[in-house]
Amino acid sequence: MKLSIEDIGAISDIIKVSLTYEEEIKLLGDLNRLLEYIDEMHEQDTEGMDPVSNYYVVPRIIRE
Amino acid sequence: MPAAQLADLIKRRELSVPEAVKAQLDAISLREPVYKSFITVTAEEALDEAVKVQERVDNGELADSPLAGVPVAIKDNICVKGIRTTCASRILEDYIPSYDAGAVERLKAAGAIIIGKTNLDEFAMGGTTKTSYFGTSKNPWDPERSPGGSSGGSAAAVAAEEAFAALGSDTGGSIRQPASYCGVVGFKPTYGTVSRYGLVPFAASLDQIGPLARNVTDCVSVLEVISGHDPNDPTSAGQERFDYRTALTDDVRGMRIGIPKLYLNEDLDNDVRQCFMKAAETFKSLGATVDLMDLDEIRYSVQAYYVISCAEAISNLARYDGVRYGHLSGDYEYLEAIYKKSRGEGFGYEVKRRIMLGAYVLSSGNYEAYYNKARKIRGIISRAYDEAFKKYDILISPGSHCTAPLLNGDTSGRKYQTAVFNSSVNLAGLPAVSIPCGKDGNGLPAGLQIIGPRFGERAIIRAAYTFEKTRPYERPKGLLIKHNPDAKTRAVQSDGL
Repeated sequence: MKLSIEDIGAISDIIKVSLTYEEEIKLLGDLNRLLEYIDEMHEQDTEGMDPVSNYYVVPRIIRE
Repeated sequence: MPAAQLADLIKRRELSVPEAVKAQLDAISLREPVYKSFITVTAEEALDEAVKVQERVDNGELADSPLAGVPVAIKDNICVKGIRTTCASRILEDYIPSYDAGAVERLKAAGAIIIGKTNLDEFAMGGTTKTSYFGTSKNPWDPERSPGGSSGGSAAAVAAEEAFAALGSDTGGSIRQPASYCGVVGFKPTYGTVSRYGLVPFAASLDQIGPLARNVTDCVSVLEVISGHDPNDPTSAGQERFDYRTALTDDVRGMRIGIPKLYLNEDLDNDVRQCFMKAAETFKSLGATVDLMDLDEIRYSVQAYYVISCAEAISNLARYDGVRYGHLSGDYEYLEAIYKKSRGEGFGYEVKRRIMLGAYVLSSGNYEAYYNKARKIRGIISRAYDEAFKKYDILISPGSHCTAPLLNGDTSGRKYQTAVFNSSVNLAGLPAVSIPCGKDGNGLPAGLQIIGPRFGERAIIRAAYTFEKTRPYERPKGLLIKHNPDAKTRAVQSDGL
């Protein structure tokens, strides 16, 4: 388990969202399951790649 | 009746715009109690607009418009001036935009009539419309089933003939999957083709507005109208306008079509797989070459999609604090509590889940391991598609891995609402369409997705148009038709009302 119930409380403070106790418990299970799934991406070798936001650089249009 | 035919009747003065709008509103009031496609129906505004558009038709101003007097629906995360735009969230329950989105402005200029704002998953986060604060929409093929999402209301409205076409938005399949479930055509254009100005952002580097319609020609007409450069959107492509309608040619001879093997490894329903293989055969018989090919680099698209979309969502949704925008909680003791309470009450569970994940993957210890890792994978995916399109004109896949699921059914077997072949398209910024390609054993439509290279809409259109000729549009069985009380009773009963 990556996240503990304390982590859930801490993150909800950062994003300024109040949670009910039921939501905290549900999020604890859901987010840990989701992270387990997301962690599969670490099998991909990304050596030498730069992080991109948009692979294609659209020429920026500047106001005249 | 297709939109093109309606516009022709109107331009030939065989039907007036107010008549067309009234007929559309009648259909809506008949069917809406069952399908619940809309959050807001703009009856009064549409009738007022109809009079103005009729004047423009009469003085010949709209002679070239394929949408003159055509009623269209707009997904409720796209701003329409003076009309409540909720994003299906409690937090924006009362938000009334003071301007039109770029795409809406262009629709209005072309003489289209905005008939209402359609339902979606809250902030477009989901694949069923179940996370909408305003209730779930129903699939016109079977009201016990989901219309898909997030543009589920738009797809349902078009399939239920409550609008001739609709705008949706697509971040990870949100136009193509509901189009597939509802048996309509849904087009997600190349990133930058349609202005995102006035689209309430979910994940700005992935979001793109696109049309849904009952046939390829209508869908392409709407796409042509809404596309083109908009100075209000800095990510908008430089091209002033795009010519798509001339690509509506019935010929795929010599076209090179690829099917990435990985697409078929997905957890596909058997019937969907069969419909898809038949579609591939159809292309072959029409003179295209169809090959299975490797594209393993896109394997982790869904994971990368989750990380990037949630990370972007957290900043995009930061503005809803109850002060600048949105629902304000009455229950607070100090400033910080206003924000926390208002957001806690205003956002539904799914939104909270996603922005929690976004905050986690952006936190200092995880930024490199998750956010940057996902962005590197995004680069690999984009590059892999580039390479694939050196060998193939288009790639094809199923539109969704299943047909419309039951609304009260157990979907836990499918944990994630987007498939590799849907989300990778957004990560690479590519265009793709979903068109009907057959039906499963329950008589529900299955979709075929056609993906093209960046700004390769014309190849997609050519393939989609040719394919459609072999499978003309079918309206949903059991659709509520006026003066048919039996059908009405039947559909209402099956909805459990």
